[in-house]
Amino acid sequence: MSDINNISSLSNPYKVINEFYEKSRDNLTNGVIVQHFRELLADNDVYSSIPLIESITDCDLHQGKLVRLRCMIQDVFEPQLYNVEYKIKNNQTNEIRYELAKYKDYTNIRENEEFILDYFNSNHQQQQCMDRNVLYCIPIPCQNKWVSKRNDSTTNSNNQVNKKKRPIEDDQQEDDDINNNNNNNNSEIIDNNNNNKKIKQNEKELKKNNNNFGKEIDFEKLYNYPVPANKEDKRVPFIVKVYDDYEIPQPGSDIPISVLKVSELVEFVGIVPQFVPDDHSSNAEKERNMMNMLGLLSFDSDQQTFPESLVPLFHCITFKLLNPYENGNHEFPFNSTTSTTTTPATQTEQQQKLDSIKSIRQELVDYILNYINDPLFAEYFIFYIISKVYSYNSGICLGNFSLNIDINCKDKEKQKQFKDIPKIIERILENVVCRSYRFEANIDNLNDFNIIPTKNYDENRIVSGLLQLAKNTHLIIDETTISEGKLESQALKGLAAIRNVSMLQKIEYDFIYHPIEFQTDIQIIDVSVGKPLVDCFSKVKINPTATTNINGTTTIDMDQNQSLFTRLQKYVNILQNTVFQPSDSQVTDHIQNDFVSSRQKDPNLSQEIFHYWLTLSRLMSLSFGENKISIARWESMKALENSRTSLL
Amino acid sequence: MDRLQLFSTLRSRKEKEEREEGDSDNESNNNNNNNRIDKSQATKKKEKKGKEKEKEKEKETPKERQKDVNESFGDDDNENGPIDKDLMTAAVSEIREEKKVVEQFWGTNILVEDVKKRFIHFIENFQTTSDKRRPLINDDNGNDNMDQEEDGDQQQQQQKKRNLYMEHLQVIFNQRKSYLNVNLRHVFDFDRALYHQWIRYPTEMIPLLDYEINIYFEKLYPPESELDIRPIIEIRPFNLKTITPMRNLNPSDIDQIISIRGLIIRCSSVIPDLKMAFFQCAICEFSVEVEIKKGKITEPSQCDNCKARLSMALIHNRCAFSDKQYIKLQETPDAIPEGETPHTVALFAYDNLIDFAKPGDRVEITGVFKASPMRAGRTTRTLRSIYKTYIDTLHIKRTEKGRLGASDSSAEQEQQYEQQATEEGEVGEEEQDILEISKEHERELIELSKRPDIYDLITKSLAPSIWEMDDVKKGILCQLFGGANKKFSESSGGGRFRGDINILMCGDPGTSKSQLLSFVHKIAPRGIYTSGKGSSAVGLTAYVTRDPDTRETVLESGALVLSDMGICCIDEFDKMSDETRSILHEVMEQQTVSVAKAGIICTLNARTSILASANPKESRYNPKMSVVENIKLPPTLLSRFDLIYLILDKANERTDRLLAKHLVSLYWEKPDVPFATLPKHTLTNYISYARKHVNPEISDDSVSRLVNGYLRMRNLGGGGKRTISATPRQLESLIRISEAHARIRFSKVVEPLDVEEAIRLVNVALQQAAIDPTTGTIDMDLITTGKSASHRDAVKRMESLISEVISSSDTGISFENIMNELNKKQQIQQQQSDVVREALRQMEVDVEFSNGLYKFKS
Repeated sequence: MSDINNISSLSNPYKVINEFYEKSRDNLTNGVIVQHFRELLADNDVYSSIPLIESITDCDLHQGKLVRLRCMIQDVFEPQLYNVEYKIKNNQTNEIRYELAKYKDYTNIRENEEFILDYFNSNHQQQQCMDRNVLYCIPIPCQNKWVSKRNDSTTNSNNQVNKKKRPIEDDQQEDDDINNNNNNNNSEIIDNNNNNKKIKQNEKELKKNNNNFGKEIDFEKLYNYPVPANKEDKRVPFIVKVYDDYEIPQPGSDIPISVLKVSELVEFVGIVPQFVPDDHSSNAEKERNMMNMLGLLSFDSDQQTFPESLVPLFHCITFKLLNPYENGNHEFPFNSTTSTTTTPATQTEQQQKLDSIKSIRQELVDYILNYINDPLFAEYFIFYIISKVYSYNSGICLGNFSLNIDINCKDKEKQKQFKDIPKIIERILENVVCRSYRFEANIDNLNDFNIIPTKNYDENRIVSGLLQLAKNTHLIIDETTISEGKLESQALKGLAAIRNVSMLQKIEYDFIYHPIEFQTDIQIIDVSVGKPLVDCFSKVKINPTATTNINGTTTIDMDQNQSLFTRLQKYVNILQNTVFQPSDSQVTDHIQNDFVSSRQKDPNLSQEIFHYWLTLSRLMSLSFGENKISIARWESMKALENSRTSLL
Repeated sequence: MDRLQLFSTLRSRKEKEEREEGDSDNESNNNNNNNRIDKSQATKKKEKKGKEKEKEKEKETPKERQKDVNESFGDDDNENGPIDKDLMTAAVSEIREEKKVVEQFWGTNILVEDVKKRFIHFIENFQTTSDKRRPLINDDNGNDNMDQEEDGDQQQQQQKKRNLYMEHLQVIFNQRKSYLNVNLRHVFDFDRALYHQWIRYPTEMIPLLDYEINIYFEKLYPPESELDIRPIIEIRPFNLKTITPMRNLNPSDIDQIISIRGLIIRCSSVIPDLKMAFFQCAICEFSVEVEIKKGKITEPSQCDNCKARLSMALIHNRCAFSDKQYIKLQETPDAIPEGETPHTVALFAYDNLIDFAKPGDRVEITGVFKASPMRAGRTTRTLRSIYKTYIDTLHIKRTEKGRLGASDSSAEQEQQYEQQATEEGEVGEEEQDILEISKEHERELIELSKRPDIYDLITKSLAPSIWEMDDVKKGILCQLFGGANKKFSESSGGGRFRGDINILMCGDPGTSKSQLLSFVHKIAPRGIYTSGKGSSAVGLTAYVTRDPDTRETVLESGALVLSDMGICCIDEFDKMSDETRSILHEVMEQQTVSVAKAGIICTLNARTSILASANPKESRYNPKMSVVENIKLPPTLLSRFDLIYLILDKANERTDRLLAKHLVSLYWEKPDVPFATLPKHTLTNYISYARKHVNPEISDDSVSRLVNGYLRMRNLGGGGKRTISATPRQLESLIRISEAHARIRFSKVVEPLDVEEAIRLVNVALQQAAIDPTTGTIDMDLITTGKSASHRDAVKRMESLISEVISSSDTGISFENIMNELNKKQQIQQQQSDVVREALRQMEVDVEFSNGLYKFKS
């Protein structure tokens, strides 16, 4: 019984929701529906069989079915009030029926029926009107190819299979007739048929729409991505409507905190509703309605309207936040929606994990040296890769390790060769970390590129900027392409904002009347010739004798490469999610003594350097698979620092 | 909208009366199938009653209201049980007594007659004390006995009773105003049930009460002649008991009066709002007037006269329009939870509320929250289930003028301003809201102030992430609390003395000065943060621009004027250009900014405290130079700072060790917080409360201490160029700081201990104990914290030895002789001479040094 129920929950969630609704109207608000779906998702097999959608085609394929969506919240729109149900009257029989309107945008009625708009009914007025949150979600920006590939292989495969299996049958039933589904398999087939049919329809519609829009729509402006999307990228943004229980009460204040914030990575589970193309034939009627609207003139002028054919709608039933440090390895069961971290590993488990990756460090060093033959750089680069902000303690962010690479050198030839370094770094990162992006900080880009996310009150949305990235995105600032020229004030503000992220991991969104500060964690690596435009936590000068090669000195065959990459990815993933332990008192005393004596030797030593040492030694220990700082590591950190500073 | 309907009806009442009666009766019958019975009842009543029944019709047409009434009806029994029970019994008894047909709000047991009666009763009988805000702590016992205080209050009321709203009506009559502001807190105090009815059933109450007040007004001041056309009076309720956070607006608030705070981000131009449409048949010229229903005009589909379909056309210039404005309100930055984006809400303002506030203003809106369905899918087969929500504005209050933390003088001025505003016919409010903080909160704060460790607790809670620097924090606290502004009466020469405390922090880089600044600017009322490098003189004061639209010259305020009554934090003070800095002279003492530009000559208030931070002249403090040389700011400016902190980052073992420990603990995950701190908002409330309600006075005992302290400081200075000498300004600062210190304890009196602490703070700030008065340099070894324990012990031991030596000589003894004596007693090496010097300095209380000889004071 439950199996059948499960299948229909997956293939036709509307039917299941409707069943709940028919049992009791209270079920809409008491969380029973969400509970049902969560229980369903707790089964890992079921969970991973739910298709992930990311493009228009996916939407069309899976209309009305339970689907998953992984995305980043770009903007939070105003909450909407909506009707939970509609009262519909049959004009012939004068019968009155109610239809569920939650998780839907449109409600259809049959022939001879009409909506009763003053749906007033004293028995359940409480449920008439509810509010839902509307989020504008974009595909996770700067995601590297290997992450999405992995997703493809794990989830969408079974859909492919299903698709082949499905025979094409005649369509004898109308799509809206939900109640006739006695045989679930059958209904699935029908759904599929209908879908196929609809896809064709939609494609036509899309063409029509495009024609209507004239030539080209400014996709970039419409989609509003922080960084321009690849032309081949089929992924689209979604408008996600989130219903209840997304807020947690906040102690000491009557305003609950919403867990769904801008720049969070979320996986939504829900339904893509049937696509209803805008009816262009009803222009005449529109004009008649103008009269009705006169009273509300210019009222919704600033409301965002998106063509649904380009930005699909998504109704969320439940969701979970994604841990930004978990690199694409998402095969965790859908356990709890609110926990951002994975289940805390026990000490021994963690130790085992750390032991398993110790040997990979050398492979990573070799891999880097393969491209840039500078061991000192390789060390700091590893620290950079595995760094993350692990704590915001009393206003200071701890763990940030932004890195400046100085490629200045006297040898002209070398200088030219070194200019490739940003691209090499990009290449290395592409295969190791889950999100990375190279930003060419030349005059034009700085002047014209949106760097700071800004609120546009005319369109009532946040115009995204380079710095609206998810946490744990590695951002390469490439200053090697800069030439002489004039920087506009916008560029200076942008640079200041990047600097702020680099040093404090804070970004202020420009809300025109006042800025609003957000905490972030974008790992910044800045490659500069000489003094950088963006201050960084640490600075490494490339050894002038080092050699670089954009293609790597030794070529390894693809298969080997692939398994190497997998190992490196695992290395970064585990280290970023390791909980660091405090050292014992002996080490702590040693560190403190060291600081005191260094200060005595050189009174100009500021407390910042101590912050720096602590961060560095932590990263160094981590990179060796240790979750504690030992005296030996502290000393080797100091030695490494000496060799670094001697080069500067 | 409802209100406008009412007016149009009132205006055309006489002519229309008969015809309309018939019309609307038909309409109401056709309209609601569900409500047919009630409607017909209503119709019957209408026939019996005179003017009121027309009123009723107005009330009942829009259907949203009916929905609301019923919605609220459902809630009633649960939420406002006691009130409604009272009401019910009242209603029942009334019915029994009078035994006649009683009108009720549809779907409720609220009696229309009863409401009217109680409302008029309120208007006639509400009394208030003149206008003084209630001092909450008016004597020493005030803290302990709240009840007693309230008794006192009542006595006060007895003395100065006046019928506030009757006075208002008088003003309305004299000035031909068209609105009456009603403070809902007054209503709440006077008649709780009325208050609840008012905010829960505004769709019924507003038209009803508007109507009532007009009738009442007419009775009170009968029109002298037929030609005497008066503006129709609207009631503008404001000052609700609770302010709804914008985030918490939800469907249950629909069709209720709510109060909401926010920042206006855009205002539309004035929109003509169609109130009555005039249609004419293109064929037979038969015309129809259609009134607005549920915010919509329904176009007649066929001509009633000639039965031609789709022949009716709208004739624009015969339609009736009213003014309306679309306003967008956004949450204020402080109301947004961390990491979230602000919410916005749409407002509609009508008639003379239009353009009352401009984008950028912080306002408190009182209005009715409404929702109207929106249909995007226009085919009849599909319906889009979305509502648009907005607030129909009833009252706008600009809160910018009276933000938290305004001190008394401002309050007075504010009142003046408000009075002026009312006289000028603006929408100002006649009564100040007395308390921003609720009673429980108040008790909590008073409770808190009684803690013996309150001073330390608050110090620790200020920027808890910044390690140590307790004295600097204490200074900043005094600044936040502020001294009392003093005004002298005209007879004694007039003038005022500032109560604001200015602080300069001068110190080595990397001593978290900027962090302190940013913390202060966030919690301070009207904190403004600027960087000296990026500010120009006009940016700080005010500049004159030409408005692009009107071509008028407009004065725009700069940072200092904007932070009037607040704190202006200026970072990188030393990097400011001299010109810019020079304008601070006026601001820091006179607390005004004078502008004489482009035909505008004026003086603006800039009653700000300034918190500045600077680096020493050579970026790092150079111990070889004097303090003044290091700070390198003109003495005229320096003397205007009450506290000048030298924050030195000096390598010394003890502090370094503590620092290292602190930092290390930060780096291990989940460090434990070593001390309990107050949450930020409690701290802010505490400060605002103190600023508002506590005004300490100086006791006689404290006066003498102050004088002594000042004299001591004055003597120390020596008047040279190389030290910061004490001027009469220092005496003022001492007074201010001691007042601020007393405020921290919520004390009415400045006690000697406050003075002592103030003197200590001033001394510590400049590390004066360590300054060599002859050279003006800081004796780096002397900075009190910079001693190892062993060193301090050595000094202690030395002290006892020295006192033996000195006491052996009656006439006094020179330094060399002391050394020799000591050498004799114990084999001290020459290197230890500085220990001896220090010991001597520590003994300066008892030992006097004159003519190169040390001897005990007599």
